Amino acid sequence: MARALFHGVSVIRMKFALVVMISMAIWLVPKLASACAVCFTGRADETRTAFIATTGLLTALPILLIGSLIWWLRRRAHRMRDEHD
Amino acid sequence: MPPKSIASLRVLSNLRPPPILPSPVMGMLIFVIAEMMMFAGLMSAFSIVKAGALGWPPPGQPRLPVEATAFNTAALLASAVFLFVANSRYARNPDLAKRPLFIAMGLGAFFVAFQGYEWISLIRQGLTLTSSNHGSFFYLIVGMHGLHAMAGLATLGVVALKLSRGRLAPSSFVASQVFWYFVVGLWPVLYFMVYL
Repeated sequence: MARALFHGVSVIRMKFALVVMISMAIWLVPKLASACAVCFTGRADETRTAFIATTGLLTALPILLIGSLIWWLRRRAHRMRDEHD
Repeated sequence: MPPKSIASLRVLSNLRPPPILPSPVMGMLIFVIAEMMMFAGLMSAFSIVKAGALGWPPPGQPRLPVEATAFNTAALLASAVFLFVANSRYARNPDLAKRPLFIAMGLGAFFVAFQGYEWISLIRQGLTLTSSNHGSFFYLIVGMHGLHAMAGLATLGVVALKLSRGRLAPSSFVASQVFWYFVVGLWPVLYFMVYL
């Protein structure tokens, strides 16, 4: 049945249609991307600053937290070893 | 030669150095770090939406009760002070820790109850989860903190119960304190970001 549906349809036309669809998708996707959730008010500077600040926060925070914990544990271990000796 | 008697095993276990940090405290610290990252994500999303908005709070939305919540913040901070006192007394005599611990719990319960009262009045004024981005973020962030406060109170309740029965392990007490200090320490940051 499925094969019969394609019977008589030109393969070249199918390829052409596919190329057109992909081209349209490539052409339209950037427009969709520019309509993202943070570009709705035109306050680009404030939004950009917030993005940079929060990216910095979310990048630095886990490193800072885990690093602090490891540093504190090492310090505590050294102190305990010194007391034990 | 492997030890064969229980007595020799006990001798060997006494030779083992104590752990760097008791397991409950270590587990709680890792959990708190994960929770901090969750709140950092929420605050990041809030900052970006707030920066992009033309006015904050949006027009037509009620203003948040800044002064009343400042008073509530003071109550929460005081609960941390009483918990600290309870900890220092516990080291000397566990019985002396009961009163400051109950006061700390009372202040924490007051904070949660006051937040609930505040929510009811804000909902009556039209600030709901779906009324605006302001409402969505307010209830999400403050509500998430409120849930943590309730969990912290439940933990302190278990600690108080064990303390009154004389079966409280010091590591469990420290772990519950770590969580409560996290709840208390986070609130001023949220207050500054959401209310001011």
